[in-house]
This record gives sequence, structure tokens and C-alpha cells, in this order.
Amino acid sequence: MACTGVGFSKNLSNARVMRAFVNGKDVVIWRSRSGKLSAWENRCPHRGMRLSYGFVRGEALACMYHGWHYGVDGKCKYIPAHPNLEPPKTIQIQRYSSCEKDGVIWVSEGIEANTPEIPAGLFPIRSMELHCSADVLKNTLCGLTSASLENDQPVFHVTDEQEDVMYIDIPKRKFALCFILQNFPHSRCFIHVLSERECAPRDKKWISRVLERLRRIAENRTGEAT
Amino acid sequence: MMEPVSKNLEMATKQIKITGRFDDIAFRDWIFHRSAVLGLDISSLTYGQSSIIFSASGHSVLLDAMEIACSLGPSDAMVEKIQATDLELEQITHND
Amino acid sequence: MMNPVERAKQDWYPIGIVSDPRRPKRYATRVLGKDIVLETKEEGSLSVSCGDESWEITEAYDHIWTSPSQNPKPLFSIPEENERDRRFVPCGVVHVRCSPLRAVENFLDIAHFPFVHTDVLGSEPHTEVAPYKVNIDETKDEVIATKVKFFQPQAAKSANEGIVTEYIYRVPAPMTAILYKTCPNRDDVLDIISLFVQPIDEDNCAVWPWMALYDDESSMADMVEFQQLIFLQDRNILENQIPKRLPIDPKMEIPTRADLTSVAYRRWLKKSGALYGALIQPAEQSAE
Repeated sequence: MACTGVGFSKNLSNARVMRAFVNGKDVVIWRSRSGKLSAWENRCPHRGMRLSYGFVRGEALACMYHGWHYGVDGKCKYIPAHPNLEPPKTIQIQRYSSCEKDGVIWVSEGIEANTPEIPAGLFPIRSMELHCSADVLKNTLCGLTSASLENDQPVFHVTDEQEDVMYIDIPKRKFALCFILQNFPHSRCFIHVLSERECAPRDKKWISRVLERLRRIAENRTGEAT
Repeated sequence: MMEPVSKNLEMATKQIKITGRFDDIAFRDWIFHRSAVLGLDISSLTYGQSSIIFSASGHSVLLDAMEIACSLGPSDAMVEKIQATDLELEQITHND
Repeated sequence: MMNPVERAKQDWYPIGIVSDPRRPKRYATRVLGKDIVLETKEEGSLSVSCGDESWEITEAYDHIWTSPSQNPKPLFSIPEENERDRRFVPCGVVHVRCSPLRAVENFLDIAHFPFVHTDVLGSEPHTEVAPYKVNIDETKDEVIATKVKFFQPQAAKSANEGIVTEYIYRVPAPMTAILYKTCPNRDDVLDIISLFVQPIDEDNCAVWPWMALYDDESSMADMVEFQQLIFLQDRNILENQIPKRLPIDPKMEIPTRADLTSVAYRRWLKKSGALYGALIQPAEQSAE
């Protein structure tokens, strides 16, 4: 089953929680105090509160509403209103498969997360939100000519495209970028950008500038379409 | 202040009787779905004449949760009355 | 079973505060999905219109109420409004992107105090909810919860240390909830905090909190600020509950004895057909 890249490992510290979308589903991703990663349906089964607003306590994620605690296995461990009850193992959250590879957190709905084949040893640069769908961004990237972005020099060149992963060559700067696209509802997406080699601060600044301009172009396209 | 309840008092068996206007089969299926969520054992479930009676065993907090959920039941069920009675285990076999 | 919109039209809904100096002469708002205008005439009289249609209007509990029905149900009574040594505090309005029924249900819940209103209305480890009683008053057609007890570190602006607060909850109309609680300063009376909810549509509401308290020390501004803080904390929850509308079938939820008022409230709504803002079919998957 297809995997979605939801962010960089380094951006989710221990005992932190984040929200992501995977195949249009609202997902909570969190790391226990010891660093174990989990990805679950973003909804507490008690009264439907989004778990991404919850807090990590040791090896459990607690819901913000009534403090129901869930362990890394997704099962309810503690119900504060009934502290003497050992919750039945049947009270549990629907889990997604997740893994971390090459500095990226991957999530899928299936039993196993089959991550796309991306080269090992890439360097996470930054994650960026765009107000356009992943498809609009893809089309924008593929359709761009060098003149749109920087003088008359060829800027980048899409070399490969898997489901939601694109490889972009930057001949002028002599390196390549990898874009992992993550679609969100309501015409939004995230791109998680990695570089094939370690980048000097100067290169990172340049990449950021180019990404900002790419964002403006792609978002304008969305604006025109509506 | 609230005193902790002794663990021995926490396990129980209850008979729950629901009366009202509802689709028996739909409510019965709904009860089994709920008991799976709560991890409760359901036994001797019978229905008819605008009522459903069943027995459930487990932690008293979960039995209360079963009773409370059943007081609402499926969307189109109109529960008029719900009664939960404590049972000794031997009593279950004598239900009609 | 009456259509939920038709049933909802029979009730009164808050749309403003009587003595609000900042309200424009023609104030536009929305109730039950309909755009309405509250007009204040030169001599001070008020009227509500929805297009060409005139809506009923009344004033009570410092608020202006309106109803689309020509013959609405009588507005509920709060006899304590006649106790003129109380301080009456309309707290203003907060818009919430949730069903009006969700706003009421949350107000009736105490198990969230240690987590949502930490160190104000509740704190860990005092999280256990002791059993309490909920009944339907058949004569008045109201939900009443009594003997609701909870340990609170600072239950009101005037409380200096933690106490076990005792509550009575009353739901006199589908979109109104009233709470009576131990007064920190006096043994013989109960403080009143109520939530008057204006249904903008089934997924949006405006909440008008109102208090009738025995508190000679706090300033009006402090009391309002306290109540607004509490409510803004609740808003974070209300805008992030799935599904948005109040489920009538608890199939996708796990209510326990601590959720008794919520369940009794839903039962009562179902019985009276007051289902505007409710989800009647169970949401099999998280829809939003």
C-alpha cells in the first residue's frame, strides 16, 4: 500500500504530537518519551476529540478532553474518571503503519509501510505548506520553464516522478533535490524537501527563495482555477 | 473525599432489561457491537414484546457503561425504561 | 416525528444583550440558518425581522430573545432573577464552529475539568467522578442532574482555596443549560451560571453565558473575564470534536457513568424530537 511522507524525523521530538493527512484521512502522529513512533486515527473513541491536541505522558498519549490514556499499542490504559478500572483491551484506536527511513516519517493505511525507493543518505532541508493541491504543484513543477524562476539559466529539471516523490536536478548549482508531496484536504499540501548532499547555508537560502517563488506560482494557479 | 472502591466489589453480573419501541434484531446486533467494544460477556439474550433482556458480566464500571449506552440504543430506538439488576452467577440459568 | 427544524422553531433564542451600548441600530445575525435583523428604533423599542416576516421578541435575563414561531413555547423560568441582591452578569458572546447541542453537552460535563480547565475548575489527581443522579422532570419537561460533586482548586473568581463543589445541572430547553453551584462565600445559596445558545445553523452557534452570583468582591470585568477564559478553553474542544453534530446513536463513542448527563440530555432530545444540530445516523467513519 502506498506510503505518505508526513515530515522529517528530526522535526518530531520525543514526547511530541503532530497532525497529518494520509490518503485524505486525519491522522495523529506522536512519539513516546522513549522515542517510539505511532500513527493513529485522529479521534478519541470516548467522545470524538481530536487526539492531535493531546499530550504525551511517558509511553502514552492522553486525550485533551477527559485525559483517557492510550499506550503505543493503541489500547486504552487509563480512564481518569474511573481510576480503579483497568480498561478493557477492546477500547483501542485504529492504527496506521509507520516507519522512519532516511530521516523521513512514512505512514500508510496498510499492515506494512512500503516506503518508496528513495536513495539513502538524503539530507532533510525543510517542510513547506502550500495553498494548492499536490496535483497542481506537480503540474506546476513539470510545466515550469527556467525563465519563470531565475533569470535565463535552467533552474531545475524534473528527472523522475514516483507516486508522490519527485526528483529535481539543479544543473547550475550541481545538486539534486527530492520533493516528497503530501496532500491535504481543501486544496492544500505539504512538500518535504531533501537534498542529495549537505547544503551550505547559502544553498539553503537559495532553495528557500526558489521554493517561495514556486509556491507563489502554484498558489496563483489555484487562484485562477477557482 | 472519595474512597477507593475495593477491587472485590468491582466485578459483577447484571441483568439488563430494556423496554420501549424498537427493532429487536437491530437492537440485539447493536448490543453485541457495544459488548465487543467494552469487552463484556453477554449471555441469555432474549427479545420480544417490546423488550430485550440480557445478562452481562464484567467490571461494574463497564456494566454501567453498557447500561448507559443501551439507554440510548440505536438511532431509531425509543427506550422507555431500562433496569439493571445484580445477579448471582447461578441465577443466569433460570432466566425465561 | 416532527421535522427537527419545525421543532426548533418553537423555542426562544438569545441574539443580544438588552443594555449593549455598542449594538448597531440594525444588527444582522442568523438563527436556524435564517438571516435576521434586530432593529432598535429611535424610542428604544426592538423588533426582529426575517426578510418580510416578523419574528417574536422578548427580553429576559438581561438578554434579547427571538423566536420564528408566532406562538412559541413559554420561555423557561429562573426564579432567582428576582433575588435582587445577586449580581447579574451577561458575559457577551462567543462564536463557536460547532453544533449548538455540542455546546450544551460540553457545559454539562465535569470529567473534563482537570484537563481542559487545569488548576481552575479541576486538577489531577482529583479526576474520579463519583456517581450522581439524573432525572427528567416530566411536568416541566427538563433534565435535572443532582448530587454532582467535584474537587476544585479555584471554582470561582472569589474562591481562595480548593473545595468540593456541589453542582446541580438543569436543562430547561434544548439549547439552554443552567448550573447551580456551591457558593464559595455563603452556605445558604447557590451561584448560577447559565449558557444561552443561539443556533446560527446546525454546525455553528453563538454562546451567551450569563451569571447570577453572590459575589461582593470581584469586579464585573474580572467575573466576565474569568467566565470567558473558561469558555475559550471549551471552544478548543468544541471545534475539534468528530462528528461536528451531536450523535444520537453512541455507536462510535464510549459513554460511561461519568457521562450520564450527556447521555440523559441526548435521550431527552431524542424523545422530544429536538434534533436540530444532531446526527441521527451513526457516523461509521470519522467524517470530518
